[in-house]
Amino acid sequence: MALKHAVLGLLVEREEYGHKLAALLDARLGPAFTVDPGSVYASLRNMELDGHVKVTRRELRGKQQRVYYRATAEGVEHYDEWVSGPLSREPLRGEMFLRFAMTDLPRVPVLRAAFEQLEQECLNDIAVCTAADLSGTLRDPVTWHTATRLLLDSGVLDRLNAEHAFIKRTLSVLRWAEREGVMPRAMLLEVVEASA
Amino acid sequence: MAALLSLIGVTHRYSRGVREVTVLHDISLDLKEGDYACVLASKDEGKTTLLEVAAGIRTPNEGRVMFQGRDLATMSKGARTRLLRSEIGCVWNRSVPVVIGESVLAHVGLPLRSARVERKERRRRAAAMIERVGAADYADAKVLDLSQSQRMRVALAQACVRSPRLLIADELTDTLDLIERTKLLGLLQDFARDGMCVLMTAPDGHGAKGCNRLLSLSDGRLKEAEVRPPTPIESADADVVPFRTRTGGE
Repeated sequence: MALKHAVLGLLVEREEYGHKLAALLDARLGPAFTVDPGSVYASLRNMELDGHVKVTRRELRGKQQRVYYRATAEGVEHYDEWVSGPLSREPLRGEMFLRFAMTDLPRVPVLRAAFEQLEQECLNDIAVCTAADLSGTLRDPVTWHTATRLLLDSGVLDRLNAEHAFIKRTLSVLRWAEREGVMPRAMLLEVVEASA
Repeated sequence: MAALLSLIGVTHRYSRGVREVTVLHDISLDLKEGDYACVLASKDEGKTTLLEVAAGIRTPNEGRVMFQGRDLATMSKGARTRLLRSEIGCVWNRSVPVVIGESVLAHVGLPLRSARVERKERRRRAAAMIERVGAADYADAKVLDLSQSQRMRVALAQACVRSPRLLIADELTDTLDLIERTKLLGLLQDFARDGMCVLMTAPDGHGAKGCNRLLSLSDGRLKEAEVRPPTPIESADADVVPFRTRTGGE
């Protein structure tokens, strides 16, 4: 994922320093995207070399120096190209599906262990997306970026829920296969329908 | 902090036709005060059985259920019933018997009546809990006249009116729209912050918002995730310029 375009987008909007950019991105993108400040700084360095951002000022805060950046005219043009460029859906035909489709019965134990790891990772991701303080209330007028964040959070959780359900169903079939071979038809249909 | 509820090596099986299905397989779980735990599970994955075992109304085939350090299986029926009524509140995802013509206030106060709380105090406590769950507007209405979301709030009020230490909730928000679901989950989060232990189930992550412990039940096995605090949505725009179009203005 090209995080640098998101960093550039913020610098098209305003002048800002690295640590604040990381915090703004974190708030804009939500818990599903783990924004690493190191990646933001690396993006800033690369974009400065490319001529897309420039340092506008430096501010001394105690012993620390804040370096502020802004998008250049070339940076604004580059960002506009990215925003206007073709948009593709998130990958569907990923390795998880491929490996499940191609695994034969003798290799089921290996795949089962791999899917158990995926199950834990998926559950951890869902936990991150569901941890929330529900005491606040969203009020009108809702700003555009609050709206995008809400929709993003909901969309990410939809995908995680679907992934979690698939992984669990697959594990059910893999565990049965490891013990007894291929599942009987009636049981298999039950498993497939369980999340319907 | 000592565990309020402990499931130790709990296993439970059912017969489904000619085969035996293990819906709970060697499950161990410790819950303490302030835990707001949500178990994700699809239909027929054993979530209701898990809650029934935790609530002490179903004895597992194997394993122990300890509440406040006491093994529920070794208690007399009377002692267990008293414990369940005073310390554990339950909201099930099935129709709750309602007396025809019964008002919300009387329905919520029913557990207090069973506990022989005198009428005036019963009405005061029921009214306070009805207020707490946001059902005050229809406190005098008949329960059977309420909408689904209103009935859920009333069921929650009834389960909590005796200030139980443990609240069990089975798919509480499954049939509710987003706004009502968020409000109800917010109430559960509130109760947990006040020290109540909440154990609930949900079919997916949307029904688990706000929990501080997330688990998943599948193939009889219980897995738990780690949670980290989120970035609150409102602060996303605390000092960000509101969206402007390229031509300027909102």
